[in-house]
Amino acid sequence: MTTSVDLALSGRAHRLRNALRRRTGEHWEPTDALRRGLLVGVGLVAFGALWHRLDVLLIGAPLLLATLAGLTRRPSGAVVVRPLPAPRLVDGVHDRKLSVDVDCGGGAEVLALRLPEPGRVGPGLVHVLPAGRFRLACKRGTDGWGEGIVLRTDHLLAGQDCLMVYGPVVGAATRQVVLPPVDPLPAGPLPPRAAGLVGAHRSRRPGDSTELRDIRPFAPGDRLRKIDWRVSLRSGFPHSGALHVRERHADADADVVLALDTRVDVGVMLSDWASAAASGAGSGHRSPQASSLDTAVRAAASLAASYLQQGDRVGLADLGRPQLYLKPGTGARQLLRLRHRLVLSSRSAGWSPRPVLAQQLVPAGAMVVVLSPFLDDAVAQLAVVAARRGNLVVAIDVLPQPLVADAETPWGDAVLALVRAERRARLDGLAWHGVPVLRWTAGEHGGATVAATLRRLTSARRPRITRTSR
Amino acid sequence: MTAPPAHAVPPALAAPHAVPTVAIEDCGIAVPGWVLRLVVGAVSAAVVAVLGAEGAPVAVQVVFGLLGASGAVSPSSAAPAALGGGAALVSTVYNTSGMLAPAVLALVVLVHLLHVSSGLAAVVPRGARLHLSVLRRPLRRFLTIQAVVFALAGVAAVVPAGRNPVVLEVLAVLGVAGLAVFAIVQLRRR
Repeated sequence: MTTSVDLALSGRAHRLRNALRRRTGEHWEPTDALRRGLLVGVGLVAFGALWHRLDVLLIGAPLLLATLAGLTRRPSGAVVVRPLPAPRLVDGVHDRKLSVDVDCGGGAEVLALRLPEPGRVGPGLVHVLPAGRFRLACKRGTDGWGEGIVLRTDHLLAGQDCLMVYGPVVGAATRQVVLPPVDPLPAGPLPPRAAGLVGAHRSRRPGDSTELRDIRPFAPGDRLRKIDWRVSLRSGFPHSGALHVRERHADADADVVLALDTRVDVGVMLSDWASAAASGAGSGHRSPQASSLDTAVRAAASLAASYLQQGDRVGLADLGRPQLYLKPGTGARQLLRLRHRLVLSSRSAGWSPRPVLAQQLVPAGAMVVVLSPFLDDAVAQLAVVAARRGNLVVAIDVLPQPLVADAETPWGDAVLALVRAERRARLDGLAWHGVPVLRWTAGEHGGATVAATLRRLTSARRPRITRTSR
Repeated sequence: MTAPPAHAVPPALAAPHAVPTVAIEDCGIAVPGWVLRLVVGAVSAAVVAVLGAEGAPVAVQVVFGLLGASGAVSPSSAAPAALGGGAALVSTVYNTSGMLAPAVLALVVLVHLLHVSSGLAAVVPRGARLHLSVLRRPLRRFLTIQAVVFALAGVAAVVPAGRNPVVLEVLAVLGVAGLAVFAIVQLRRR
């Protein structure tokens, strides 16, 4: 049973709600067009009637008629502009569907609604549409990855001739995490390191694979089925020679640590390197343009997918924020976890001035893939130290090419030459220390070259020193 | 158990399948929002040209040109009102070819067009995408109102000129006052 207290409370809540709506623009109000129509229309018609000026009356009549027509059909009813719930996590950049439910009520004629714009990061542009009641289907603006606002339904409605407006209202924001895409790599891009006695790669240890490692004299503990009778008889067994056994290699899986340099995010324009936009810090979807961090993340996701598909263990070390380390693991869940961590790492890019890769983060015998634009000596030194610890280290250069000098300064070309020379010396130093340097180019098949080189490393006992064009 | 308030579940969302789905790509041709401001500028220029054709001096044309430019830059300002109202009054000074001359009829169309385009330009951001289907209903209404006004002008053209009875003039003034009162009442209604 409704009491008088309930009624008073509901009345107060109603007034409060109305007051809040009034402050946020969620109500209909007259515009300058209405005032203009009334003032000029009534004024000209009155002037024409009083001073017997038919021409003035005729000029003012359309304004007065349009204004009165707009006032007789004033907009009414509740306005609803609401985005449909979208998945918080999107696996892959191609799932871009979004929807907005729109009900403009009666009398509204124009709807201005902010919608995502193809090729543009963020909530997008304002579209001016006929008002009505419909479900509007649109697509997420970019096919980039990352975390950010994909839709924010800022809106404004207008009545006849825009005499009354509702809003502008800042709409609810829809955020999505889009995982970095996985570009398929050619099969088997894996240099092996023994970490266990099962897996897809040849280990240096003896084991039970089919690949011959050695033939040696029989020793206590050898299984009888390993005896090579042909070699034993040829050596003179059972009279003078000894029994020989065939020793085979063990199969091993690999531990791979992807070391991502998130301290810098730069593009091809040297003039943008110092700006906040190029530093990459903060949230937002990253459009698929050539930026070093975008290339590094796409490369890391693709490499991780390839390794995990072969049953290897893959981990992630953020050189800028060591606390975001993801220890090596296997399986599809690890790939999902790793891609999520890549988004998290890129969101906090530019956090640390020095790269950190603690020894305990890299398992013994693991391969370390350092993805960096190699713009400072610290990261090169880190790669060399990791190689000296006994790990196989592969450096992947993700700096977009070709670099463009700053045209606004006379020193632009000199700075570019200096940057190139420093990088050349740095990468040569890496190669001299036995760290192969590969280049991952931005694009759908950017990893093909890297995959081919990694395959070559599979057959080499020691990694070959590689020089790339820079 | 009490029923949810009426505003809790809007009718549009209560039955989502009844709502047609429209893709933004299917909404037709779109032009940038600044095109409307260009229209305001073009109409203002046409108004100034009409005044010039009626014999208005260059200084007046410059003043009205500046008002037109202000209206194009800021359509929600008072410039379109000043331009429209001022042009109507100034034309009474320089109009020597009759009250239903082509220049007057052109001003009837142009001032109305200035009013409508300024109103729309005031609510559309410059960088917005204006889908041309939005203009269908305003255009239809514009043509209807113009047809009514031109019909009125036609009637006035055939009615013999002369002094009107005082009662009729008082009624006309009262009618205009009544329209103003009606507009104020409509505005105060919530």
